[in-house]
Amino acid sequence: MLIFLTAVEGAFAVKSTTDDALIERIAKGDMDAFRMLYENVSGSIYGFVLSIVKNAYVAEDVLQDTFLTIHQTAGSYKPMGKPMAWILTIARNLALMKLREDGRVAALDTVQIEQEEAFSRIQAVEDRVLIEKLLTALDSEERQIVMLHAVSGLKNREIALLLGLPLNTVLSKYHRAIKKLKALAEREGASNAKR
Amino acid sequence: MPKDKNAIEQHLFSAVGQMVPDDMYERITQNIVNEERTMYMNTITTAPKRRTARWIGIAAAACAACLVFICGALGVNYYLSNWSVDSIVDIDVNPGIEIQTNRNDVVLDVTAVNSDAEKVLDGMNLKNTELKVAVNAIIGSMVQNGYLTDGENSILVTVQNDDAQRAEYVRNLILSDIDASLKNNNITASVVNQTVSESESAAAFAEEHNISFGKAVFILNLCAKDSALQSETLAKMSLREIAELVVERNIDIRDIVDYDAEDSIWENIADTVEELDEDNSASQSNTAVTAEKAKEIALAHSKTTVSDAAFIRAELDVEDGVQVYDIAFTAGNVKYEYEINAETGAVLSVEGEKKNVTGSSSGNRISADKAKEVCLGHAGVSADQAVFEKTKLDVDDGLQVYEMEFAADNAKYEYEINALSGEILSFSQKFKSGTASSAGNGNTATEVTAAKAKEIAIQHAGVSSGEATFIKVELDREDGVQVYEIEFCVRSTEYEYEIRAADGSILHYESDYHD
Repeated sequence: MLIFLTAVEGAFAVKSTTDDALIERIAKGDMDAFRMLYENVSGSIYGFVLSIVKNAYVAEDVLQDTFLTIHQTAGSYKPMGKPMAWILTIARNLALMKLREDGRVAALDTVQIEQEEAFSRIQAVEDRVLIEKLLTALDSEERQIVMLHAVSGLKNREIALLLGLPLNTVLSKYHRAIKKLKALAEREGASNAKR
Repeated sequence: MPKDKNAIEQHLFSAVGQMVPDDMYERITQNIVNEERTMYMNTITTAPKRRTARWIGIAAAACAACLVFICGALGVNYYLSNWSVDSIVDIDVNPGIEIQTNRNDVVLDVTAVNSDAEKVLDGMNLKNTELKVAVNAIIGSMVQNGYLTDGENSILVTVQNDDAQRAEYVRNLILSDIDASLKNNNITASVVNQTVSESESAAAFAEEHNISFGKAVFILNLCAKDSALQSETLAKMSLREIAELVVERNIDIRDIVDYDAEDSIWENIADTVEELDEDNSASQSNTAVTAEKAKEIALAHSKTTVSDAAFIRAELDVEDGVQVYDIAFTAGNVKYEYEINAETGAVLSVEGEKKNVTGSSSGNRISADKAKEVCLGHAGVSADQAVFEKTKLDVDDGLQVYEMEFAADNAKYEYEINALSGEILSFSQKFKSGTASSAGNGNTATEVTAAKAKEIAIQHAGVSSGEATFIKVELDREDGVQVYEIEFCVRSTEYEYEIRAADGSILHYESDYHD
């Protein structure tokens, strides 16, 4: 896990939503800093995790575990100006662990009904439509790629590194997935307008 | 609705932000304050525990083997040294006990993993004791309960820690503690120790050497028993060669395989590896055709492009003992349901239903022959091949409907046709032999032409033939199957397809987008 982390960190140049100083403060037990980090990146982590586990409750668990791990291991974080890469790697590893643990890799092909409560918190129809389409119409890699674009500010090259995919694959999948989402969202918009 | 990718991403960003429960931060901090140690178990040790359990399953087979796992936490800040977990030690006797220690080697918590372990731990309170004291107590109790006897015992010590120095230190500590404790109890045991630097080492090792997970676990376990063995070398050997080596070096593998004395060493190893692999892949799709692939087949068969389809489900199911993908999607206002053989990728059945039917109620009724024509055209069956079994004019919800049933070439078709508009309201196609081919190809022996293959590829890619520049269209043979290899470009995207010549199914495709 850590070997992979180092490799990823080494090549990242992230327009991240947090910085090294914040992690250092967390390492020293500064709860204000922890709170600030939570405010900054919780939505992003949740989104990325959701794109992997495809289940709102499981995503909440992983989000929680990710912050607990950040809190515990902040001291071991080596400042390299790329805390978001570090955080997303933690989140991804925990999410994949969760999938294996629950034996849910195959079962999660359809969106679980239990997600509905989390969906109901989304106010704007367009937001809701897009997240639903993302979860139902895209494959796992497409979901993660689009979500990382949307929430992390990572570049294609960095996404490729994080997900362990060839850059070409990331590019073509991203392109295709966006096209798909756009078409689906437009159709939904049209049918809403008719009603 | 969103116009471009930035807008789409903004909506997604906004959506996930709102999905996080309001009390999440409180939930996290509560865990930090109240349950620091529990948290460690949840976050750091859950996955290793699963693996551990599997390894122990093997180890527990024969004599009272004892596994000691020491897992180091990811690295802990100095100020937490008293309260946070530094190492996690699993002492397993058919399975086991988990001890969590802090940096000062003081026990924070001890947990029984199974009922045997509960017996061993019965009535002991080891919290806040030194690791040495705890190990002594546990070994003593194992002796009392008969898990360690004065016969032959082997203890496998596995150290997992990302900090190599710390791992080494903790391992030496536990080894000397166990040694001292065994002496106290007049027990002799061979202590084998194993350093596993990562919880997922077996999976990583398997991937690195391109071997199965089961083989990786066996090799790692074997190397732990005989330090002269090199895991890298073993990874390149066949199971039979490894079995010969086991015999040659006289390694006792009874505690690392599910040992059956009636079988040869090789059979024992092979069975265990197979079991591990089955276990490992049980939760994953173990079929020749992936769900994604099955979706592609369904789309190609229905002549729907990916961008037009909204998937409802793609689930692996078993019907009559055959693994089948149950795939449903909508395209336009038609809902499709496919059953696709998960081994062969053959379409077994398809049903389509038009939603929101607002049939015209005026005009002239079409003739039954015209309705037949509509069905045959849609099914791609020629009139001389089809045997009509039912042609009935019915009224359904006030709508005049032709209900048609016919059979052709191992397939059975059912259609409902709007008798006024000639529109297909619903259809069902069931293919008996599973040799369902793309529509228009009634005779299974007939091969798909190159032109047809090109059309399939273009349709699948969702582009028009005018846009595509073909680079390659070649009929090739792969693994005894005739395959069209097709490559074409559309602006900056390059597509590659492999299409089975026998039925036009897409075997493989790739697209590369060049910025």
